[in-house]
Parts: sequence; structure tokens; C-alpha cells
Amino acid sequence: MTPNDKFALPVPTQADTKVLAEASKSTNSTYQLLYFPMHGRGELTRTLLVFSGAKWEELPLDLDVQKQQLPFKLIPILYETAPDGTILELAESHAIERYLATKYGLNGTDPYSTHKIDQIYTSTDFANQLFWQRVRWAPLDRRIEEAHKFYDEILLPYIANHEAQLESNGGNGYYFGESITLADLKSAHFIDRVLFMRPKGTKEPPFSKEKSPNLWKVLQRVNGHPAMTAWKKTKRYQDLDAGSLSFFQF
Amino acid sequence: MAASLPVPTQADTTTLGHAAASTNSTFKILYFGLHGRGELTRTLLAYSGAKWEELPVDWPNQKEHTPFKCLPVVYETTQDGTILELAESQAIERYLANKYGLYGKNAYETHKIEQIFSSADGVAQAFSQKIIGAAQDKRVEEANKLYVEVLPKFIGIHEGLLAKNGSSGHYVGNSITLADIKVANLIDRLLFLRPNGADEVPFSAAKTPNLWKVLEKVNSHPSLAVWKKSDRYQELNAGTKSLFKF
Repeated sequence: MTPNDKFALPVPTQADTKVLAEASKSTNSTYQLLYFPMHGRGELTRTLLVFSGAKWEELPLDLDVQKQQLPFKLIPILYETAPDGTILELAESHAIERYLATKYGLNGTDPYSTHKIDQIYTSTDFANQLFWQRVRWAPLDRRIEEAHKFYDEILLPYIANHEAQLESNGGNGYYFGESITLADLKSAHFIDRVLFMRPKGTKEPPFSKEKSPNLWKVLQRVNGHPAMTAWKKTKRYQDLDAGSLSFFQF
Repeated sequence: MAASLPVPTQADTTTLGHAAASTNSTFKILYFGLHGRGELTRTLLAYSGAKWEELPVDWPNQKEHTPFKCLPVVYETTQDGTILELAESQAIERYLANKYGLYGKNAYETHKIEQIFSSADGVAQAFSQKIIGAAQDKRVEEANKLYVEVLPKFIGIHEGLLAKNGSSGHYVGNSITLADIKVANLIDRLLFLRPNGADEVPFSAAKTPNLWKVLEKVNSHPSLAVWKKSDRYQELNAGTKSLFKF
């Protein structure tokens, strides 16, 4: 690649693990994200970056050329630059999400509270993966049927379980304590996506103030957070919305 | 009498958090009689050296008492008698790995371990959907496809990652981590659940030397070697093949 190649990627620092570990303690890092111009598997990472308040930007994508430099030949990839200039390469969306959540205090204060958050994350991720497989990737002529099946067979039990979990925290719109954690972000993200990626002609998904009151509160809490409100108004966010709809032919 | 379950202790977050620091816990696992989504949890319990047992399954009666209406669920009794309820297989696995020193010495090592776990899990899921989930008359075809379309890419990447760590048979540092256990488990499953008539699974000492070292290091760990020879493990092997009709 030429020196001014706009698709050149940051070069992760080669150093002893101790040096990299020390750099990764920074809460003053800046970030560069490499992902498609859609929400997809990059969205929760973008949300976490927004919540962190850190300075971050998106890198120009040319996957065919850049792929060879990526550890798993997949995106998202996130480059973290610590204040001392060390560059860390973060990969695999779920791993990136937990790393950022932990760094910015959104992943529990002890191993058991982390585990409880992880239960919500994993339970939601399972439902989200089924949403991808059965609805996003459904053949276009089967999509309405598959969406309805998904709403009935997967969402209704998900809602029952999660309404109960939220009730046990007092129904305050947070899964744990009185502040947003990765659990809330993951769940809100899932609800958002299901509502947004709704095939034309389907009945309403069963997420609503009436049908899922506690989950609805979580969604309001997350979307009402100033960082999130600002992010959702940006042109980039609108572009990502359009990219998602276009990519999956919704 | 319906098989009753331990009752998780009701207490505030701080109390439960303190209890969870216990390094002298005992465990009870509720899961069906196959490897499935319980395998990695059983492996980690076996590895830990902690006292653990299996609870009798009576699913129709027990379902309502589980937090997400699915298994596995693990009940941890901490050294002060607190009972903690662990749920969701991967959340349980990360919790146990962290408790027993398999999850990295710092946030960066933890992230590297999670990268490997996630990468391997992608293949495990593809295997589960496309082969275990396949109609029986399509199984051989789907397996052969996976062996040539998915595995070579995985192998290329992972042989490279292991070489970068000195081809020691470990992904991170110099000792077993959750990354090694997850990948060893994946290779084990792919080899064990090879449909009759399918091609050879492309893992071997000759073809995938670094991955093979990971597998051998994990399987030869004393507590895991003992676990794999146990009657229960053989039962779980048989249960897995039977349930999935292999």
C-alpha cells in the first residue's frame, strides 16, 4: 500500500504482554472502528463507544484489501490507542463489547454481578441470533411468516423471562441497581433492532409499553440517555439505519 | 417426589458478591444426560478440583424454577453457605473460568481469550446448526461441506495465532486458559460427532500440529484425563450420540 493510502490500517504495537496489559488499563484511550456502514454486528460496539465519552472515529473500509491484516479475517475490528501511543487490536464483536463494558464500568462490580449481567447478555444474544437467522436471512417470500413465528415462539417467552428479571429489580427500568449496565444496552439494542427491522406487512412485534412494560422502560432509559439521544440524531446514525435496511433488503 | 432444586439465597448484591469470592465452593449442575450445552461447564468443574455433583433432571417440574426456562443451571454453595444460582451456559463458563484462574491475568489477556472463544464458538454453532440440525439423509453432505468450507479457514487462522504464541500448545501465556479448553472441546466434538460415511475431519497431529498440541495439553491435564475416563463421561458420550442420532 502507498503511504497515503486511505485504507491503511493502524498497526498494533508489538510488545510484551505486560506492556500491552498496562496500556489497556487506560480510560483515556481513543478508538478507531472498522466495520460496514450498517448497524449489524458493530452496533453495540458503537453504542459502548458513545456511552464511554471517548474520542472515536470510523475507518474507511475496503474489506477485500484489508482482510489479510485482520486476525480473524472478519470485522468489526477496533483499534485502541492508549495515551502513551500503544495501539491495541480488539476483535470479535462480543469480545470487544465485554472489553469496553468492563473498562467503562458497565459490567458489574464483582464476579457475581458480572455473571448476572452476562446471563441477560447471553439470553438476549441467543434470541438476537435467532432473529438474524430466521428473519434477517429469511428468503424474501418467507419473511413475514418467519417473523410471525419468531414473534410468537421466541419473543413471547423472552419477554416473559425478562419482564420477571426486571421485576425482581423493582421494575425501575434497569436490570441491576439503578444505573445502565451492559445488560440494559444489550436488551435495548435487541428491542430496537426487532422494531426497526420489521418486514412490511407483519403484525406488530410484541414489544410495547402495554405488552412488555419493564422492557419498554429499559428501552426508554437507554434511548433517553443524553449520549444515546445525541448519537441517534447524527447523520452517521441515519446512514447506518439506511445501510442496515438496504443490506438486508427490508 | 419431584426432584427439588436448591434455593438460591436472597440477599443484596454486595453480600452475594462477597460470597462469590469463595475459593472453597461446591457445585450442583442441572443438565440433561448428554454433553451438549453442559459440556464445557462440566469440563470446567472437573478441571477446578472442586467437589461437584449432578442433580436429577425432572424437566417438566423443574422448568418453572429456572431463571430462563432452560438448562444448564448451576448452584454454587460458597464456603459461608450462600447458594448462588448460575445460568446461561456461556455466562456460567466465563464465571467458572474467572474463578479458577483460566480467564487471563488482566483485561487484555481476558480479551485475547474471548477472541479465541468467540471464533471457536462461531464454528461450534455452524456445526450445531448445519450438521446436528441437518436431516439425517443430508448429514454426510453437510459435514463434508463444513470440513472443506469452514474448517480450513479456522485452522489457518488458529495455527497462525498459536505459532505467534510460540507453538506451545497455549493460546495465551504459558498455561491452560478458557481459550485452550474451548478449542479442545470443539475439536473433540467434531471428531466424535463425525457422521458415518463422512470424510475425515481435517484435524490431526500432522495436519494441524499446533491445534493438536492444544488438544493434547487439555486432554492430558490430570483432572480432565480422570473425568474423561469416568463412567459418567462415557454415559454422556452415549447420550449425545443417541439424542442426536449419530
